[in-house]
Amino acid sequence: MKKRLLLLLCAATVILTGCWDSIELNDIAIVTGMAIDPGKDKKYQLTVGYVNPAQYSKQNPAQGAPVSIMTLEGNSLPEISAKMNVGVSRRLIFSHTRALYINETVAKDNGVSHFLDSLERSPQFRNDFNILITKNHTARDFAMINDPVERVPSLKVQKSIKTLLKSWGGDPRVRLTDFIDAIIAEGRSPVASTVVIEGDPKKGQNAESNMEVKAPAKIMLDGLAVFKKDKLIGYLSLDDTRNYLWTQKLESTMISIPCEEDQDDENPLYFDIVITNNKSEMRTEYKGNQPQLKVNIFSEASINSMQCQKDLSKIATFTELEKKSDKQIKNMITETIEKVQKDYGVDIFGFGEALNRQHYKKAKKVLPYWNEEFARADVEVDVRIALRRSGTRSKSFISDLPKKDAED
Amino acid sequence: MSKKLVENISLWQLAVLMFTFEIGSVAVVGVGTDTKQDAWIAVGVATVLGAGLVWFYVYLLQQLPGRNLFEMITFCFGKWLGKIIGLLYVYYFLYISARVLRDFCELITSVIFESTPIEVISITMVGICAYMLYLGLEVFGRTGEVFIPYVFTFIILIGLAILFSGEFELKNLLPILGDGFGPILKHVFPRLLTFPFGELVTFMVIIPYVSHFAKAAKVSVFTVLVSGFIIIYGTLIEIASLGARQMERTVFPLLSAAREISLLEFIERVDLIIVFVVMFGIITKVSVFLYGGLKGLEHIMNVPYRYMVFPISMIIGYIAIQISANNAEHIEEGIRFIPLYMHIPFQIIFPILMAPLLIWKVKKQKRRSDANGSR
Amino acid sequence: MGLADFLFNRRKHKNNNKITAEELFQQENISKKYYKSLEKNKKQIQELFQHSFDFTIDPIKLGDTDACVCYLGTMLSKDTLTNKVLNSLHPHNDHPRHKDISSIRDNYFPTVSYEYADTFHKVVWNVLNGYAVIMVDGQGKALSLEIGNVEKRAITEPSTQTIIRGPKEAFTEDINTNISLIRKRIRNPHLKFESFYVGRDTKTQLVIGYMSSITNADILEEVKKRIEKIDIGGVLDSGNIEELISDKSFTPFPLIFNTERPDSICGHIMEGKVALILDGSPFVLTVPSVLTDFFESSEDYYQPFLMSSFIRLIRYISFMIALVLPSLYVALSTFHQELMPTQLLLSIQAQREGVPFPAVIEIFVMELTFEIMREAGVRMPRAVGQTVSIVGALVIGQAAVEAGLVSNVLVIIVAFTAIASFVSPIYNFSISTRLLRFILILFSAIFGLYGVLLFLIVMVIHLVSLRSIGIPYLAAVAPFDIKEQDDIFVRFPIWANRKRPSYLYPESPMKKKGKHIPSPPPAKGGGK
Repeated sequence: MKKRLLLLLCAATVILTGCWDSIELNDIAIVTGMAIDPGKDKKYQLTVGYVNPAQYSKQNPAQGAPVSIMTLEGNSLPEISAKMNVGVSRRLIFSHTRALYINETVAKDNGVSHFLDSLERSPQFRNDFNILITKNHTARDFAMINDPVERVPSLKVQKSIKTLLKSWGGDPRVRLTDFIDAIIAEGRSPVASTVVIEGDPKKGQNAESNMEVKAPAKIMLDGLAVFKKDKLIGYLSLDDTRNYLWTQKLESTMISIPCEEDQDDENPLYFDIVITNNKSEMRTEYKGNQPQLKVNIFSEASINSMQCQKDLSKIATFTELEKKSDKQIKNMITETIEKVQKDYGVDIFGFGEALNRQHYKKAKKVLPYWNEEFARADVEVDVRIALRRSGTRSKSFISDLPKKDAED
Repeated sequence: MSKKLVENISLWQLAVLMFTFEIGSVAVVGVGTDTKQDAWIAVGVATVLGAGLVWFYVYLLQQLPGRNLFEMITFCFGKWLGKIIGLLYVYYFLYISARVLRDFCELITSVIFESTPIEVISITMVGICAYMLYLGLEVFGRTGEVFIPYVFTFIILIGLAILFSGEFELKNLLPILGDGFGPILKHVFPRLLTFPFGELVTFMVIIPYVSHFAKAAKVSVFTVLVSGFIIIYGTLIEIASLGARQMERTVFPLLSAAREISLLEFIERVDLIIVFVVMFGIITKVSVFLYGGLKGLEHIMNVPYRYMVFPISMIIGYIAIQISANNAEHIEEGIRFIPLYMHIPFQIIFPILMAPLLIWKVKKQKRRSDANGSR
Repeated sequence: MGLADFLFNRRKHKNNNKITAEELFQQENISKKYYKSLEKNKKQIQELFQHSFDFTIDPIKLGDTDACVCYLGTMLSKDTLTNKVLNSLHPHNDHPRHKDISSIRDNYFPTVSYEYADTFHKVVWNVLNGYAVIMVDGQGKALSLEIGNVEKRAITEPSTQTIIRGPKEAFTEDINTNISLIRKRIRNPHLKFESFYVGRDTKTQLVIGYMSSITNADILEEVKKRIEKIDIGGVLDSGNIEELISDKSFTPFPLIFNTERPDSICGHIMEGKVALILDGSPFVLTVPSVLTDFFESSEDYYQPFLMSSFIRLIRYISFMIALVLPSLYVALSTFHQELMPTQLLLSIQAQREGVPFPAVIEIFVMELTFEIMREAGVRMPRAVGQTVSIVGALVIGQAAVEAGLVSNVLVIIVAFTAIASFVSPIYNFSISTRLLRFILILFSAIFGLYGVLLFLIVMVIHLVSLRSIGIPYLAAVAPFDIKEQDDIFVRFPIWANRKRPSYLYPESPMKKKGKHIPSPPPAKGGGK
């Protein structure tokens, strides 16, 4: 009996002093977005946007703002976020962060690695938020823009990126670990998405802005930010982003291709193909001392619209269209790669890594100065599009129109 | 039936215990990270060598059926020297069990509970082990049987989930053997051979209690191969989903890999499943070492080990915390000091030294008994 | 066919030399003839029915011829027996000496319906069926007289273990009725009933029933030993016996199976278990029991096997739900917010907004409220019981949510947990989950998911250390036996399930010998 009592006492000490890490749902604020700006007095200015749970309730949704923000300055992110409670009543929980906005000046001047380390180290942060470089406006503005459809702005951005990736492809699919991996890799340079605000950010902050049909301000995706190590050096357009993605891992995209190469500018005609299945392979080789970058792309596609007068029930037409698309896509991608070579001279595509995989011995020698090698390399893109089907119609009704233009 | 409680475990139970023992702390800390994308090859090489090592252990046990490691040591080295060597083994087993426990405490305190005192974790874990061992080896074996399906399916499922989440990049495995076999072999011996595989030397205390002892050798070698296969599988997952560079930097690779899982927009953030797999693995591992140590003490002091379970386990709970001041010290010791000064002597040198002595003594004994019989 | 063949063929070869219980019956009885000598007949029937307390053999005299009447006391009405048979044999009724059995019948029992038994097999069969069999010295046939059944309390439907398909009889408080309910289902002389009297003051009759050809002798020995060791003033229900003979009392899990369904008891007896029937209790116990018994309903064997396998899996799942759901909620909402998908977390947080209690207190109070209501529902007069408890739950639940005292999610969780805990077919197993649930909530409040896992592991360790009459409580799972898996988590078709559970060490391990797989008749004409 005494033994049992002793055991009970031991258990009681554990039980009665327990609950070190517990925190009630009523005492937490779920952070969904973070924005990093250069600080005035200190190194950084951090803005967190956290959800106002009462606004999220199904039963009695109040008419307030769905998200509140809090801004503080400090020298490191953990320090600032720990200090946030000077103005926030609840403990901030960062595990549901959906978007990290980084002001372009921070990325250009200080580099991003200083705060990325703290994000990677903390067990709170997951690997599922988007890293976004903000252009033109401060990052803080981005955390505040309301959206009428998605009540939480950062969720909106993430969702929109996810959907865009599925339908068109315009985000490099970069997460925290990939980003850091690219920083330390010798054969690859990091990229991140950029966002801009369209409209007036001042008006977009009001909760009433959700009442309007046309939102006064919207966060829009705007292509790629190119980094050299951890410093921002330039941007690529949205189209280039898609081309970039094509060399990496493209789920699906839609592209319109001119019917004739030298058509008149007044009334250009296009046909659209949707890429449904895509396989790309990078090969890096050395011919003598000259690096050769090769991209082999094989895509399955189907025709989505047809402005030209072509008979789609014929094999020849398919072959012809395939050839045209091959050429067009090849040109686009080559252009993007050469642009990166010329303008920035950093290998964001990962050709260096391909070299490392394929010719390990050679890679060991050249990787330390790979970016220079990349800049002077020859580019060869090989595209093969396989048109599989043409929707629910074979011939376009356009081809049955009286061929007035042709007769003229 | 009311038969007397014989402390026997079945072959299947032995296999289950060995399996969980093998993948237990491997799931926490990961293996072969130094060899980068070739880690899985290194594990494969180590598995084959490890299977040989285990066969050797069982071979030793077969010379004296029914006697465990400590009884064997006494048989070989005589009463006093045997006791001293036995005591060294006891020290080794208990120390390693404290280290394994510390591994897990580090995982919990740095991933899940940031402000919970590490003492609480360590004492609750070792408390479970003590309770289980107090109830006997049979209960230990059966508990393993209950949990093995979950451990096994979870590990397989994690791999599949990563695969379907699209995080599985086979590209990360290239280049294969970029630097040749050299670095791999250097890593396999002594670290990989001793860390998950050589530690099976503890089973020399358990294997004699298997009910079909004759088949023990086959079963243990087979189990080591299967668990080696699962470790290769786990390592492949880690490399393919994290990439070699990241795997090198993370403290808990499998956990980091599981964080990449995202299925159906709903099945994500499942890393606690890993903690479960790990938790049972750790309990098995700590218990096996603890049992080894306790059995040694039982042999040396002639006191049933049940009397010592709770005191010794509480001491281990304490040692686990005091063993090193910080995580860096803990890991550094594990890489530099332990394999060289603890694993190699106890796992390899002592058994090899013992082998000829044992064979010679057994033969002598046999000759004597033959002589007696013929007389 | 192919797969089943592959799975079960091996087993057949292994057990070729063993015979089933039914064959035993056939071999022993048919070969033995009905003798003319009364002494020989008496001796062999006594041998056969030894250890059956309800078997009676009364010597009588027909004029000056020796005869005897034998019957199973539990299977017929003793009043009628006295009136119809014994009275007519009264010495005052002087009858001449009789040459053959038919004239005996004509003279003594002209009004009773009868049958002649000319083989010993038939004699036994008639005894088992509730006839009074009169064996006369020097006659080659026995006379079996049909006596009416026992007068008994009407057998009702089971009240705690209802099923949809299957027999709707339940045990009653009368021990003889209960035994006859079992005898009715198992007509076999190897079905033994041995009688004990327990309780120093109450002297209550306790009968153990078992198949002597199946049940392991060691298990039987152990059960008898434990019954003999019972030393207590009074025994009022089989629940008392359960506590007095179980291997361990400090456990929330029931170590002895109880049921009020005769078909379920018969199933257990046929597997090689021992049934304990206490006079005055409609709940019959069987030992040894294993954990998986508590997840099996007798209906499982009456429904198609796919259906019952699925339902059995549902039972295991709902057991887990009833056990861990509330604690999972506590752990996730107060410790591991990062593990919930964002949208789910947001909506749960929104619902908890304004709730003044910590989640643990909230769930504790609600669970407690529910337990009180459940208890009240059981104790209240039947007319108001059910309605009041349901209405109470709705009103209290809804009002509490509207007043902002508890959150919606929590009410859903408590309600779901409660429903899941009712799924267990045996009532006292669901009690154990209720108890453990509270402890589990406490653990999860201290350590979060780590605590839940901690507790579950301790629970499993405890479970594997339990034994029921010496048999491991988790038998067939741990120690694992692949051959037993045909009737544990899922049920294979009955024709495929040919073996009795090996963890009971049955004397005859096979349920049936042949391998008959129902299949359509071979097609004529086509095919080959």
